[in-house]
Amino acid sequence: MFARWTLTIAFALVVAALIGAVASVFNPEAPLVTGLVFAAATLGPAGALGWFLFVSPKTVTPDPNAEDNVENTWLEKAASAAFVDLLVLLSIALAVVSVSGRSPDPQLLLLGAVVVAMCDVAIRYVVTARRER
Amino acid sequence: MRNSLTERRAERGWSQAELAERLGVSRQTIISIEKGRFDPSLPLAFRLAREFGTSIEDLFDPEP
Repeated sequence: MFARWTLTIAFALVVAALIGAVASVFNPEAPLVTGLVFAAATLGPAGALGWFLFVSPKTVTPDPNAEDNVENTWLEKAASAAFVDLLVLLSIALAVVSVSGRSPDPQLLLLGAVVVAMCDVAIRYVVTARRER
Repeated sequence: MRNSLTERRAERGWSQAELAERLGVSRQTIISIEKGRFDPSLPLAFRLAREFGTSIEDLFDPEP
């Protein structure tokens, strides 16, 4: 298990360093700061991915009956509804952008879509769980 | 879908948590099935029927 945790930490450091390096290449104004910020911001998710790849296969036992639980149904309902919500929202946004001729910042648009999707699923899950509890 | 889960469970003196553990599902799943708010999957319905030593038809009534 020690070897797996060591591998996880090494994996996280390498992935974070690589992403930091790529980010610094695309931001030549302040490459060092950009690289450090991106590496620091990526370290956590990279560590989580490393844990998922190297540690969890030995420590987490998959639940063979997971799909039989009512909570799984709630999550599926919430995710399906959120998908439709996101589709409608993006369609409206596309129509507005097309008509107005103004292009929003793509980074902001994608961030907004991700945040809306995540919040939508969470809210819908809670509402469904309260209603069907 | 109506069912006789609550009565059969009471006959055996099992708690909802105990039945959930026997079936490998969450306690909330048992609560929702007993209230008729969640229709179990076919594999779970078979496990429930087996646990109570009966058939799915005896355990569940398709009439709303």
